[in-house]
Amino acid sequence: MSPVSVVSQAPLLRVAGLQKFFPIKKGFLRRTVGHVRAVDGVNFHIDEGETLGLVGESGCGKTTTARCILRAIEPSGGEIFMRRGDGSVVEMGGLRPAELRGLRREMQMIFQDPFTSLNPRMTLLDLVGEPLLVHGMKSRREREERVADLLRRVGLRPEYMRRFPHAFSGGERQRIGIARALALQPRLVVADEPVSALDVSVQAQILNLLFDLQADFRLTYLFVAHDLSVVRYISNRVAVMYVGRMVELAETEELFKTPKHPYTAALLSAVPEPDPRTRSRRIVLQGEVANPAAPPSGCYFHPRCPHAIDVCRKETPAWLEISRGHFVGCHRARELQLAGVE
Amino acid sequence: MAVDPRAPLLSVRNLKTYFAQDEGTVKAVDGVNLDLYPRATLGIVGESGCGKSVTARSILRIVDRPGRIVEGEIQFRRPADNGGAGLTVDLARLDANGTEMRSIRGAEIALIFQEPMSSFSPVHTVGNQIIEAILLHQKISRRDARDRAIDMLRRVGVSSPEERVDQLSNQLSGGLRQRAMIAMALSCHPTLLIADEPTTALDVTTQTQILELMRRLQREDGMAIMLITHDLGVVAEMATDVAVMYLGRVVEQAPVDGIFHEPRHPYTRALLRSIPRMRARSRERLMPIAGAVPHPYDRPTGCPFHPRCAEFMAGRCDRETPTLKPVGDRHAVSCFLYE
Repeated sequence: MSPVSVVSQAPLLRVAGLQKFFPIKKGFLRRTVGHVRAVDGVNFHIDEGETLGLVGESGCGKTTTARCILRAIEPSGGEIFMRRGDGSVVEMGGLRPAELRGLRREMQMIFQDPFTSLNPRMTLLDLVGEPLLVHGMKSRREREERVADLLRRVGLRPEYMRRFPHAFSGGERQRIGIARALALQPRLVVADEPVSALDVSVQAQILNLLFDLQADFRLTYLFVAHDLSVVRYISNRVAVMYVGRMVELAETEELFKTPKHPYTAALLSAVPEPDPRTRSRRIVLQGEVANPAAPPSGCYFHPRCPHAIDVCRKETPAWLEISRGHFVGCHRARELQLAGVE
Repeated sequence: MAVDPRAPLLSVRNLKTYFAQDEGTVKAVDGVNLDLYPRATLGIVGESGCGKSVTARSILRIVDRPGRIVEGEIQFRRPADNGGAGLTVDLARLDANGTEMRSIRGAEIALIFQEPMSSFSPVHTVGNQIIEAILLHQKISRRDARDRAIDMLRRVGVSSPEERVDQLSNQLSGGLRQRAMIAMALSCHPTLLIADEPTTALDVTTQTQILELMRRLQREDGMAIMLITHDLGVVAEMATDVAVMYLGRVVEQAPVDGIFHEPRHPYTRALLRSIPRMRARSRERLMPIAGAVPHPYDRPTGCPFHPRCAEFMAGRCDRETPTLKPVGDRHAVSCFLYE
């Protein structure tokens, strides 16, 4: 086991200059006529045992970023460093397939939709036990014991092991998906919108479960979501993306209370509060999210930004650390006073 | 009969819409009572399977087979022509495909729903679909209808409406499509707009734009809105009154402030406690509701919420079914704790 102190250690995951471009193909010869810059130069790290929330609207590149990290898709550029259990740091792009396979069991994913992400023809035992079998646990008895233990840990009764997923509710199916993800004792768990398909009353159960499992198994989460109140609840730090770029990254409380990017401020103000007495004046952004195939010049947010000035139209803002651990990509970050939550 | 202007525009009484299937009968709506006043916004909140959408479809008489209204009244006050008193009709008794229902549906009661992708035909231009809706209900020329469609698109904030009117719906973004759907719904000046999860499929900054738009159009046109959603934030933002539904029944109805600041029903209270909040501190435990919404074939006896209720009274809640009873000014709750 790795030592408890993490202060002096390299981060569990470090992403530097990550890019993913998808070609746009047209015509009979399917010639590439351009690229969708889905992820365009993203930098961040995640320390062991923490949760980084990755937020943004549809098409901002948050899911593509997550998929690049898991090597479900091949990045177009940049580097992804992972610290292994023995303390060595590897860059995933330079790994041979066999080495990557070994690394894969340390990274697992929890999916959004518990109705389509579980094979309906497999029992819970097979679903949760499959990763164990694939990674060499040949004895069925041993697997059953391990599956029973995992089911208990996620709040399901081990007696249900021989049932099929259709017999379970959405929240229970999400628990099955979580048990499957935890089967190989991963160190990094990427959760992509894990509660957004669930009923409101069930979301809290799953969020609390993720919280408890993190403490029990010393998990590190990359939590991808669009719902800011959910992200606030689960995350130590939050990163905000807009059209393939990261615009702000800070500790959760700091980001919510003193956002430094106008997009973060608009996003925070847009979330309707479940309290009629706080109906406040919202920042209503004009227009729509820019097209990542033909992004605007300069700062991608400038056409919708209420604070845009000349330089925003011309130059891409630098990614600067405005205070300790608080990063922002905005030309006017130091002068703007933006309202947060509370 | 003289009509009090403060009388409800829509009054639903003991509405029951059942789906008879081989596996058993699904009581999707099982005794719903609702009142919606002119110019007001009634939020209907609830989780999946609570019957909120089927209630809306029952009002419009577009419940899919084998669903059927088996009991109850849907009293709708039709708009007054030439200053005369509006007459009230029971929509539940009308022929779903008859002349009267067809003259109400789309013209006096309009519907916008969640999926702006699937609500437009992909092979007709957006303009033609709005024009068709106008011509169906009004005796004006096609040219005038086209002008009105362009006007409506401009009113809902579609830029260059003269060009957009000739585009196909797949050429519009999600936000623009939702605006176009609102333009179509409001083109005949309905007195009641039913919005079923109108912003659920949209991003949060687009949601802000659409909610703002709905509020402005309501101020300008004065229609009442029935806003169906699972999002308590959207309801708090938009509604004047709120009905909370659970498994086919209204468990609590009150003015919006009463629901959020003096909730009475254990379900409403638990729901409000369980949701993560923007203003909460991060990494603090939530207080979830135990269990899950039961499957519709496995409806609990008595109060439908009793298996998940923290204040469940054995012998009472599992045997008898509570009904909505007033507990304060315009505040009604369906729970034995208040009897």
